Amino acid sequence: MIQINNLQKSYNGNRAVDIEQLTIPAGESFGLVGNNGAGKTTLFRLLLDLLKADSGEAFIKDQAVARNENWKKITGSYLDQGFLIDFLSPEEYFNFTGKIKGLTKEEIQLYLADMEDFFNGEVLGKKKLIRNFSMGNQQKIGIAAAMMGHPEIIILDEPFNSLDPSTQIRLKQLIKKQKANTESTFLISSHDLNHIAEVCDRVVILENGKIVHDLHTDNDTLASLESYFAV
Amino acid sequence: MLAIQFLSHQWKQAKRSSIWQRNLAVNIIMGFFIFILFAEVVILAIYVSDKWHEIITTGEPVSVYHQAVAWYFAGMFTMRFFMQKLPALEIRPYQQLPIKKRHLIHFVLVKGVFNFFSLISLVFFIPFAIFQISYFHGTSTAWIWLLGLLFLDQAINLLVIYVKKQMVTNLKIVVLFFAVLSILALAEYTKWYSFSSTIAGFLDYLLIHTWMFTLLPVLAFLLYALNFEYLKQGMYLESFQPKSGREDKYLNNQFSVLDRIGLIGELIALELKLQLRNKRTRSMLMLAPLFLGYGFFFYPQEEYGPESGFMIFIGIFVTSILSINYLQYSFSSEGGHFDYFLTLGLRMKDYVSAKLQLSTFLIIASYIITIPYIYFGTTIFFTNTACFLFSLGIINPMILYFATYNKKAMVLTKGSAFNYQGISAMHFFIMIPVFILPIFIYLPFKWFGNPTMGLIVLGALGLFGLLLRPWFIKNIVGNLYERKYIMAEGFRDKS
Repeated sequence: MIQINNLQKSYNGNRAVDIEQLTIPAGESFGLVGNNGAGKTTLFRLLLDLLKADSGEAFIKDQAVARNENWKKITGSYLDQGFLIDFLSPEEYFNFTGKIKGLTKEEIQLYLADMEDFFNGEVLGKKKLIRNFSMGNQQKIGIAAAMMGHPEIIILDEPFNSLDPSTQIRLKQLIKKQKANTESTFLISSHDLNHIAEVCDRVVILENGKIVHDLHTDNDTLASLESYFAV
Repeated sequence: MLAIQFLSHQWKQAKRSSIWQRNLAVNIIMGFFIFILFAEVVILAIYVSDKWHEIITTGEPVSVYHQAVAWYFAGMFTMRFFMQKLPALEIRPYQQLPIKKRHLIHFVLVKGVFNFFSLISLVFFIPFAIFQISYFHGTSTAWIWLLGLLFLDQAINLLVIYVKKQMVTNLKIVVLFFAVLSILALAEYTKWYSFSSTIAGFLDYLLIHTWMFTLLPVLAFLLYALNFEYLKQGMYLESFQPKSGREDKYLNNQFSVLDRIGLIGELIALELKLQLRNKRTRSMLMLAPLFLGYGFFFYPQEEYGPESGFMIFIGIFVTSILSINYLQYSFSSEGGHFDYFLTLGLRMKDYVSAKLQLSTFLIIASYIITIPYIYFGTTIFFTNTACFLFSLGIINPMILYFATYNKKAMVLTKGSAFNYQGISAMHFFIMIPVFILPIFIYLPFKWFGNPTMGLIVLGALGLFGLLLRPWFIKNIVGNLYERKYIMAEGFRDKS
């Protein structure tokens, strides 16, 4: 599904991302961990063609992301608040996103009704602009928009951040449900080793832009992640 | 000591603001203009003060000056009210430190004294104190007079701060202000009641009973105390939370009519919401009618004949300034969600077309609104029509093309007066070809004695540009693809 060849990106002489080879098969949920500055967000931005790579390429379904736009139709993403249109209400934002993704009004309504549990009654019908919601609720809005239309690939950068504990659990359930129903490929980064070990089939550790460990999740994953990051 | 710490933080904030670091050219241009303007004002003030007793032939020179002072303060109150930013220290980072609250408040209020408008008062009063008051009333009285008026100026400053903290500037208040000022001016003109004589009488009285000048500092300190108390009451975190309730009203504007024209309609509706729901774009819109009124300044004047090149400038200006204003910043005002647009799978062609359609609408609206200028002659009407077509066909896509070179996000939540965030030298330079080009096309025809032909050529070029619109769109889209990484990276940096 996703293929990366010799992808490199530097800032002011510092390697932010330097990946020789990475393949993510369809339906895999791929976890990315690493300390601050390890290159997680940079890697996601390169995958979404928001940054120009110094060399190498990223492919989605065998097509280079920087050379065509077909991947956009099958990819949903939420990296940061730059993905929110803050002067809209959540309803307006979902309607806009849904229409661009080619959903009908009814499909959008159906999807939002489905997400009501995840929103926990704190998002819809509030008559508020997105910029006036709390960080946690903004995060929920962004994640829900990314998963709209059940895209084949979903990329989330630190989705558990600023969510309350119950919503973190709901998000894990949501990801598992989505995986079971539609076989979406998930790319998730997080600082929370517990969550990542729980929802991902595979966890990759980045350090200074390089892949230092590539683990398939089993009962020992959490322990080996913890020992890697122990100080 | 604490004040010095605060000042150093403020200085660092100003110095490290990206405006200084990235816009050297714009700073030099602005700095140069401000310097020239300031020097001119100072020289003018000195000259007028020196010759005041010769200029004023009827009445007491000082008394007449006091009348001018009355209007000066009325104008200053208005200017300060609308243009001056409230003095503020971002106090949240300091609030949890062991710093006494009153130190913070004193700092904020004293900082408010030092601003551009206080400087104007110095320029306005000092020369007159030197050249006139000391001549008529002696040096020591001149000093007292000067200090008194400066205190009065600060009293007005503090009053503005107090009033402004109490209410939010909106259109109603603007109208109210101008209504009060117009009534005062009308009363003065019809000799029914003279506001300036009242104030001048008071100031003349103070000059005779010099000790009474102490009233003015007392007034200033009272207002200071009032502000101090008010700030002390209100200095809690919740007063800094955005008031979300007030924004509900925007949700009624859905522009659902635009749904019918599909995705492009959806994008235009989004643009309209952006323009109407953000403070900065809204205050720019409020200024728009002023731009359309430019014709009134120039059409009645004899020295510009109806066929001069200058009329082309006015024609281009009134028909296209609104769309230029919108298009120049149309990418940078979307800086906050540009990443989203890039990943959403939006067709760039739709994105660009939506912008051009909205600006086309703005040009057509400007043209229709300015049709009444026909009152100044049919030549002006034909000139404006030619300029309208040229704006539509050539200038419109040209500006959007250049807008893709903009890589600074515009922060939309602050008002637009004196706000240069997100504006670069580019925006000034782009104006030059936009206005020079049509004049260059027109002038040769005029020199060869056929200005009408010049207008026809301008209009025809405009129509030709309209036919070429798909080609323009293709080029803008191409440039957007070329520059999207640079734009997105610049927009992410919101300092």
